[in-house]
Amino acid sequence: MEQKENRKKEIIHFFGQLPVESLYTAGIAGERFLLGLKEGKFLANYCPDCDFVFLPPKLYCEFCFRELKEEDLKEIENKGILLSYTFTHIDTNGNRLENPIIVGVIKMNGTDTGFVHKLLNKIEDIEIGMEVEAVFAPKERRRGSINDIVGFQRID
Amino acid sequence: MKNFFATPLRDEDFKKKNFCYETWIGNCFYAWDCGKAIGRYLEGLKEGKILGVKCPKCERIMVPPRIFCEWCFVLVEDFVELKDTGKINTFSISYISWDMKRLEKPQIPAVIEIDGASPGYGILHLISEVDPKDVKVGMRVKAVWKEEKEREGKITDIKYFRPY
Amino acid sequence: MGRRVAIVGAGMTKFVRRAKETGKELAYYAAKAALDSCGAKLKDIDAVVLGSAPDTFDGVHMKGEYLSCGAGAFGKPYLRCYVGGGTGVFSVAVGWYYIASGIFDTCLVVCEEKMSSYQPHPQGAFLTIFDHTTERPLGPNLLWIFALEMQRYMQTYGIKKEEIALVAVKNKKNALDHPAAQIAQEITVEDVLKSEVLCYPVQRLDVSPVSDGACAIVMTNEYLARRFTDKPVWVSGVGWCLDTAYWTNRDLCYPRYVEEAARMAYKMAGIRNPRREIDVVEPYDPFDYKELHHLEGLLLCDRGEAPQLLVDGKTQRDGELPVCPSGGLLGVGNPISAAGLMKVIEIFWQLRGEAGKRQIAKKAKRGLAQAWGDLMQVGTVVILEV
Ligand SMILES: [Zn+2]
Ligand SMILES: [Zn+2]
Repeated sequence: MEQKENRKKEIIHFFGQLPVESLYTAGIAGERFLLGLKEGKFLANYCPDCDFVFLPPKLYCEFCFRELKEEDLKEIENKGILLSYTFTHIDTNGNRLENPIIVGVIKMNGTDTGFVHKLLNKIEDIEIGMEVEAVFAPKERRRGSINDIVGFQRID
Repeated sequence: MKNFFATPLRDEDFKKKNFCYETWIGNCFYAWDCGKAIGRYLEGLKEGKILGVKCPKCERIMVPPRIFCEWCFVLVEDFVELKDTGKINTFSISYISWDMKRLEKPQIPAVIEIDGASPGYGILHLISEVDPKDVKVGMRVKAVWKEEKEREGKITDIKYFRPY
Repeated sequence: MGRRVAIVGAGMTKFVRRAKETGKELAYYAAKAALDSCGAKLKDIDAVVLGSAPDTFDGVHMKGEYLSCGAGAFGKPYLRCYVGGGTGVFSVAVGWYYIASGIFDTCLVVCEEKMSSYQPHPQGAFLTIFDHTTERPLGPNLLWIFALEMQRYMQTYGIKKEEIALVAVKNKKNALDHPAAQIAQEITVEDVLKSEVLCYPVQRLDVSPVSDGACAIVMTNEYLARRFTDKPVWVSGVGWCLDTAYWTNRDLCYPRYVEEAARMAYKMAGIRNPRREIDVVEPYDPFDYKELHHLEGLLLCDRGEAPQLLVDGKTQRDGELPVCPSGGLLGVGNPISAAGLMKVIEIFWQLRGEAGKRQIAKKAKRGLAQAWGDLMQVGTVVILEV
């Protein structure tokens, strides 16, 4: 810890740090989803009461509070539509990035929810409404994580 | 829904990490403004003095200083120099660090009522130069200061308090 | 004083050191169990109150928003409340004024904590309660303040560790009968006194564990209560109070703020002599001495006299004033806000005669739950009756 003094030798700031390190379990439904990705599959779940398909799948339907069980999972095809996108030119600390990162919201076919991930195409090839598919990491590098998908790319 | 349900991860599950998870290290750096009262308090420490404030209404002498009396809710501007001695109000002997690791040498944190402040007005600091077994509530103690040139305007400009 | 307010249903997860479930999933288990317990559906609920401790534990900023869907708050008025360890009981006071005021007819109160996310040890998340400039540079750990308070309490009234240890023995044993308990066990005073010294006078077995867990209750008004249950439990008093954050400036031997909170609740409930009128009590017990400290603050005995009640066996389940029949935080576990709500739920079950093996011997008509928190400065109290 250090502090800064101004010309009048007044003490104005006190510098310090909060130690924050977290480990997040994926949870019951999260793990079902991530283990699917590890296999190269998209697993969603369906609430029959609300006629709604969640991706990622949830443990419960947030609208009606019905419990969604393992048997309610269903595999969906690796194909979706780009709903929105952005290019980010700065990192989390505000530093300029050499190559912008492109992220998009994707609605996978047969689901009712959006899904955020990176887009792998060049900026000029990206447009809202285009059809995209996930590119999975090589099988041996997958560990049950959202990064088992490298990103999404345009299908022509 | 079943009552009293959850899925515990046993210690060995946790060590082996046989579940899906993500980790994250936060980047939490801050510059906290000291404010008027604590800024002045730190300047005092740099000069080897413990400063308190006196409420113009209830005449309490409070330490650490603040710019208001939370009882009377009036502005407090009258800084007074207190002694660097006091008595132990309560203490502990701590054998662990903030993340629950065992300390080699125990620390003795204490609330020390500072002479010159109203009765019961203490600050948190450490006790040293004494066998932990001999520390008592009510014991008289005196501040041990850093050398003047080493003082930086921090609470640690007082190294600790020792019995006297 | 507005509409009469009832608790009609309750549910909770098991309390565990590390849950595989996410915080949202834990909140869902508890909320769904509470709804199911009184045959309610999510659509019967007008508003949701969430209680949860600092974001740092779960490692999720804006934890209220994060947990909202698991707490059943989709599309409903929703508020997160937080007063440190006092949150679990305070959230019931918030639910009470939602219903008493007539703004809402029904409300779901959910408290969740997932402390295990914080690495390497959840203790570290508490560091920020110390002042960043005048205290934290001294290298404190959380236990300092408890050890300092315990020492002051013992010294002021001449209380021995052997007496205090009896609280840990009683509560961990009571918890053997609680299906959600994390660290129920049969121990002796000797075991407590021989356990590792963490921060003298605090030893390993004086302390509650860190936990993951969630609890929930359903609250409604006098007109609707019987649609949900034949046995509504009425909230007859609520109280809360905060002392100064300059904790080194007040006498730690007595929790004045708990007394103020209790007086507010007693007055509302029309209680003149709490020692005669309260049948069962769940004071906050994150540390064994706190149970005693709080019994005194609640005016259930004179200052410095709580250890005698314990030594005389009066606070056992078959005693005159059963204290922490649930097993408390020391036995059931301490997922901060959820632990406070667990205490309210225990009184709810005791008054309905549904506490199973934990049911106290005497017929209880009125009970009290209390929690405590922030920088040893907040007291929150709820009084329930049938
Ligand atoms: Zn649904
Ligand atoms: Zn004043």
